[in-house]
Amino acid sequence: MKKQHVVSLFLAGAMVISSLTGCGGGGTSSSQPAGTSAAATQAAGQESKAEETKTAESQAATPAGIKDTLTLAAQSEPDTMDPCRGNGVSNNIIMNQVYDSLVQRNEDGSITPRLATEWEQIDDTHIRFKLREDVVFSNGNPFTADDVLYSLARTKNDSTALSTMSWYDPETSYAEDDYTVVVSMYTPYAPALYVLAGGRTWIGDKETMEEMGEENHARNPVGTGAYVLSEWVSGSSMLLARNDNYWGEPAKTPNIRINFIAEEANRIIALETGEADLAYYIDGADASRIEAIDGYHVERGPSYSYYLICLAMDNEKFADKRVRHALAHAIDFESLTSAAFDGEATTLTGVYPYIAEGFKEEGVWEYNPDKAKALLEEAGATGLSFELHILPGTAYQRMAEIIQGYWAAVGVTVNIEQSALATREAQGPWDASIRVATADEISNILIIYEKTFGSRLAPNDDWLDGKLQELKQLYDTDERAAMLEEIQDYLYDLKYSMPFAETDSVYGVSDALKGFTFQAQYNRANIAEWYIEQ
Amino acid sequence: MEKEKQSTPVIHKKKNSQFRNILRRFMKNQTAVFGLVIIFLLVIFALFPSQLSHADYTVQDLANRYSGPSAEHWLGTDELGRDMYTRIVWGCRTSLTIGLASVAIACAIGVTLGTLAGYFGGVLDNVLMRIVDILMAVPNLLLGISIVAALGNSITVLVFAIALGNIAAFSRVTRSSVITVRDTEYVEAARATGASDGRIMWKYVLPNALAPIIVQVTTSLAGSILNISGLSFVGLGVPAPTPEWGSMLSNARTIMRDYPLQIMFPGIAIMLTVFAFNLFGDGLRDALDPRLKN
Repeated sequence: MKKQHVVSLFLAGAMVISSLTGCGGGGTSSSQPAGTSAAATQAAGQESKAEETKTAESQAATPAGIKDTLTLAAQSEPDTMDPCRGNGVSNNIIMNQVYDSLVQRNEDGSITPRLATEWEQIDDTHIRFKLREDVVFSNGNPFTADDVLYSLARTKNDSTALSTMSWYDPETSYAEDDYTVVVSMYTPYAPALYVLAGGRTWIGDKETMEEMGEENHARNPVGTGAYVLSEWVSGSSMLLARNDNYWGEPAKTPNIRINFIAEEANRIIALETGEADLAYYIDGADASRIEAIDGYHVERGPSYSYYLICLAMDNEKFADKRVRHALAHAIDFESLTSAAFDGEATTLTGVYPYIAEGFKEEGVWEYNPDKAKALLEEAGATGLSFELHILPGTAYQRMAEIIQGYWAAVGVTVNIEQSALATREAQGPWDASIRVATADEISNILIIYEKTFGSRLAPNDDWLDGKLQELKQLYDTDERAAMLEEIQDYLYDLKYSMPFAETDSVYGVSDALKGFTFQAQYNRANIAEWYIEQ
Repeated sequence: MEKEKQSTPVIHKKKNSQFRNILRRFMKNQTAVFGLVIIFLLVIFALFPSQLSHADYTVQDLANRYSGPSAEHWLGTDELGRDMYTRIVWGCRTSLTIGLASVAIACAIGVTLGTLAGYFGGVLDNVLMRIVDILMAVPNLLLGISIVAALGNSITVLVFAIALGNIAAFSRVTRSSVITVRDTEYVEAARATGASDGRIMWKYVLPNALAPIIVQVTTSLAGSILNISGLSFVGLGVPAPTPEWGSMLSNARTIMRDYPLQIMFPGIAIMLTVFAFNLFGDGLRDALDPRLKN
């Protein structure tokens, strides 16, 4: 009897431990101590035979003393590797390694060559790109102007890129020869180079895509980038192997494994156990915890991401400006930001993050509940009640509860509804929501207010839409600055959106990792230059 | 008139003695009494939360978050500076209300189905029990998640979702208990007097099949309270700002390493409640049917 007890106790203990490690590992079964090639080989043992040979080959080419496989802990798995679907950071973290774009945007905002060596603005609506002639795709196919036109046209046709590619005219864009492309626009479009450097316009191989079919290619991508996707375990990880045909400086580390670990706490555990060499998406509040791990530190800086409350512009409940002003007066935005992010975010003092182009300091909207009540009464909106939709995650929940509390204090009732974005949007019109947005260059800085963008604010303001289109046609930076100022003043007073918090990009990085430079956007990380010496 | 007066005490005495026997057996069981005491306290908390703690559980104090236990805040404050003690006390009302309501619904439906199946047997039994089998094949939490995801999260939906998960257990327990009773002599006798099936079930079968059902109520209550917390934990439970232990756990999950008390108090509350109902249920089972004890 006693023996049975011991055995069952042991079994129960084993179950608890295995379930705990199951959570922590995010699908990988070996916790790999940093810096041991034995462990790296062990991890590779799970892969197919072909993979093993590949790894062994790349290893042979590695200068002695460089760790064979770097392991990164990312937040979510890409939904596709189709070069026209780089809509989102998680897709682009990988795509930026597998594909190339024509040009590259640097941390300081400058544009430098990538697949194009030089370019000239022929007139307001045409840019001529000279392409690299020494580039081949990872399967050996040569890279030519045809691939560029084919890829851009595909992005243009993709339903998720309507607003980003609205300017691009595929009909009149043409190849002058195999290595010269003229990109044509419907109207002048100042941020064209930014879009071509952004995540929406990766260049894929026309021949391969047509041969393999789009769906197959989206799982087994062929690009010109520094790495090749060699293994994709759905729901768990991706393995990138160095592209030996790469036109640029070869990647420093032969293999990169990216584990997808949704929970931030588990990404930190991956660093604590030495399973990962770097983790993306660390909350500012957990920076101290990373610093406390032996052999790891934090790299952080301002990001281009910000949180905002959106009131649907097509919703009657918010049609009266006094109601919107009242809702804003009811919230102490500084306390909200501090409490929602444990003091690790900055309160926005304008319409978008201060590091983005043309930012205008508007100040924090006055916190004045009495004024809010008076305004609501004046507008005849006492007893206002609506839905506040949030995305999954405890961070959103906390923001929502704080805002709910503030609004309740002025007599506004809010029902918090939490679900995935696609789920909610499929259910029809919405009231208010808390969203995150990115604003890094002129093409996307105010994109959430454009009619073609839809979503979030459900924009329907003609004047604003006209101004936003006009803005992107201005090549002159002074003119642009003036118009940006005008638009920001307008939006600040319009108050359909209440941007409140700007967050940092925070990486948890192994001390041994060399070549890391901080990038505000996770997907621009210079993975190909990262390595660990042994 | 006089006759009536005479006969009443006799019946009364008989009922009393049976009840007394059960009570005596129950009181002997110290762990069960302990469970009952905790339940009694929980009920008091649930009935008088505003007298026993602050009346408003939504008051936020963003400048005073994560504070430890103090004279002002007995159990400290949570991530929004709300008084933890107040939220735990009010959370008791949430859990008990949803638990009781869902068990009541499940009990009503489950007992009806179980009685019909057990009493009539045959095809009806087969059909009803297969439906119950299907219900049992779906894990309760998954069933709850699907229903809440489909119908949106409100307390009514939550009650319905949890009730649905409990129906199977009630109908099974009732059915087996009814089967043991339906062929007894007193039921035969009632049938011989020409009583209708409905009357027989209601008057003779059910009262004698009640003991295991009562026990099932207490265990289902414990399970339901866990289920509510589970659903709230995954964000599909009670909508904010209504305090609920499971959502308190969920909120505290991300900060538990820095502020362990945040996860400890709601955790203890859930554990204590479920523990108490289980102890009480066990004691009740033994008291109602001493033969089961060994």
